Amino acid sequence: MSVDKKMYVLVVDDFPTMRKIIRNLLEQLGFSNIGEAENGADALRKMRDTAHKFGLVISDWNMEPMTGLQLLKEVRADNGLKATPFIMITAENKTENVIAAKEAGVNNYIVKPFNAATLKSKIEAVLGPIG
Amino acid sequence: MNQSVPKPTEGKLLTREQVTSAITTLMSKISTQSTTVHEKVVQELFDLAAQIDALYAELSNIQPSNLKNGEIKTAHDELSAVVQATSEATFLIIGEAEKLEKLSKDLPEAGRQAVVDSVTRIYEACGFQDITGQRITKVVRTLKTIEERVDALIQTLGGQRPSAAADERQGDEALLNGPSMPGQGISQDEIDKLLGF
Repeated sequence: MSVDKKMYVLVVDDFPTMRKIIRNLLEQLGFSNIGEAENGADALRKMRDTAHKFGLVISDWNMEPMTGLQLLKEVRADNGLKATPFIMITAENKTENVIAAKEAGVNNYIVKPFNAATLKSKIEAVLGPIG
Repeated sequence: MNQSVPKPTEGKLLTREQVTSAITTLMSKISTQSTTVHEKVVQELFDLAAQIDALYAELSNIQPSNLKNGEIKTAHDELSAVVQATSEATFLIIGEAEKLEKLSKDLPEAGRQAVVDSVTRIYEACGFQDITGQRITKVVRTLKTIEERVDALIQTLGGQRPSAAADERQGDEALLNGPSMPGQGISQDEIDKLLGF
């Protein structure tokens, strides 16, 4: 079964350029409902306040006032959000980072710089074939 | 009289006066015993005190003030401007790539796919701005730390904050300052007006 491309995807990054790049790549993959947040706190607020549920979160790590890892932990601790698929996309590429993210419950991890094929394959690994 | 030798608190140097006082106190204790060895030790301590005094004077006269007032701040601002400028340029590149992607919808399938593939490569390549931005931000943070340490050093050396070091370049050389910081310099329109174009 293919991924529902009408699902809401939340892109979280403090660099507007990176949000735009990920958004454009997601649109190329066929996703049409894409939201943006500029840090973890902004993302958490949007996830809690928006009427619709996000089917996927793609988040940077290094942001203020709430990092991607903190956001992930908050999401996993929230009964209403805990099942949300979460992909970390970051320049933090040390082993301890990946382990920390895994322990916090990340579904996949992309290291920047990345390419469109990597983004697609990681989304498919989490959600299933995009088609 | 029993004078105690001052000890530096964590993260803070002794002042010049405190160092001198500490050595003088130490010497007064040793000099009460008049052996040849102790006289040598006292002389060594006097020499050491003189050298420390000279070092403090040299530091306070030259390096810290220049670093504090000029170079570090300039480097900090220049790097922040690099992040801003590359961000704006990258946004522009992505915006133009988006236009090409939309225009490609009117092309035959083979041509359309080729354009989309190229646009995708452009998006991927534009990710450099995020990476360079993060690296520069780290450097800016380091500079900030150095600036704070230098500030503390200046205060330790007497709290003097001399004015910025004068630019000693002359003639054409003095005109070479690189791009202006945002808000400084004048616009193309202002240049045209100035030149009467």
